[in-house]
Amino acid sequence: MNALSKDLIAATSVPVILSILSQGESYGYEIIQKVKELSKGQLQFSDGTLYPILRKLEEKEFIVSEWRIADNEKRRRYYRITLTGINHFKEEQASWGLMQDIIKQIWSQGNIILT
Amino acid sequence: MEPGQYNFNLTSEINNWQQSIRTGALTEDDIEELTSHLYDEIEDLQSKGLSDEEAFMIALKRIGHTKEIEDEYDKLNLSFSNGYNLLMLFWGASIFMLMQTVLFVGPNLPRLIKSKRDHIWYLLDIDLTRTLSYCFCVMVGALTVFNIVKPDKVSAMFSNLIAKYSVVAAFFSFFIGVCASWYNYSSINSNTAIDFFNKQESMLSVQLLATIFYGSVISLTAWLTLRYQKKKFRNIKIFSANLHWLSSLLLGIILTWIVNASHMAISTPLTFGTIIVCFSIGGYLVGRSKNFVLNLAMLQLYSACEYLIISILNTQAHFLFAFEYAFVIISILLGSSISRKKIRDA
Repeated sequence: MNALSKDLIAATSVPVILSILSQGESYGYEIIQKVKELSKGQLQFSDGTLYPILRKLEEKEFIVSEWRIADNEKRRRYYRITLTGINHFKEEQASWGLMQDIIKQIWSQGNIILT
Repeated sequence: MEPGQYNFNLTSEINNWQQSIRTGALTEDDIEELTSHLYDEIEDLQSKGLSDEEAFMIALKRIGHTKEIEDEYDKLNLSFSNGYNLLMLFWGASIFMLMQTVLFVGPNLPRLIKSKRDHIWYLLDIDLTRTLSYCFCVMVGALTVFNIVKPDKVSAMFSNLIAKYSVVAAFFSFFIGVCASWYNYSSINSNTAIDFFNKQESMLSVQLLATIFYGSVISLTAWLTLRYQKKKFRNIKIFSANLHWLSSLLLGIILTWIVNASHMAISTPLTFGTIIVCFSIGGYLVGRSKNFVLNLAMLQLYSACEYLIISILNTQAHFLFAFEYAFVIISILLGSSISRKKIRDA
């Protein structure tokens, strides 16, 4: 399989981040590691571009951040999902479920015909 | 592992990289977060047996091109880079205003006082002014040379300083600004304007102009500096949610001074209009903060003190001042109740 297209990554980044944060608070590096692990290396993007997305989500008040000292004495910025974020995430989940259904149905109707 | 435990090269490489992303679009918080990410990645790679240099190269590749990261932040932080430019613009204006005080008006003060007594119209001593002009040129020249030899060092240092101590810097800029502008203005007013025109009306117009020019430079420098506190600079929403007692107090002082400036125009509707507009906006902003009861009390503290002192000094007008203060309180309550209602609804 080829690496995913940039447009698809951009479209999915918000629901992916919100899903990870809905499982508990996390920080930037950990979020990226989780995504990479789940995608088995198929998802290729510049790590640095995750942070502007986090900032955008924070401005929309979907998530909140806090600088804290981690267990290993390091200063880290932790992100947590808010109630607004959870509501938005649920809406996204429904939309993505619908999209998935549509695509599955079309694909199950038959093979690709080359003329 | 702490940054200090890496060998010198890695630390300096990371410092260089930090410098390369230190542009208008990224705040100090953003840079710190990206750096912490870079360190995490490097440590991970080192634990797999890679050398410092290899780990750094791979981590840098993974985090992405500086340009790419900047572009993403730029899209997001348009208001930040605009605000940052404005902030630097107003600090520049404030510094030059201060330079005028220190270099030109200050050393002439003894002559100024003397000349006022002797009714001498023109007072600036040409030799002294010439010496001071040389000093001024040398200072600006040295700054320019330093900026060419060590590019971005001055602005980076300055920007770090006011981002770190923004509330203190805002206080500093405000009080030094008020003192400096009063000093600069009185040297013009007491000598040139009055003696030259010798009219009450001319004096008033000089006062009014000085208030408008100096007042806007001072209050906008303080306001923008106050907002440039790490992440809080980005938008009013985040700024107001993070207001604390000290920044609320300063906000109250700035607003009170704007109201004071409106007294210059000697128009009661203007003064009351200014109070309503300024303090309801202030109340609205502070109403969004976490400790809003304490912060609202801090917001009105300065004007309360001012009206109290004025009422004691000027017993004839204390009814009017009490009335103005009541308007301040009403405006604050109005503004804050709107923002509290909004927060409750959300």
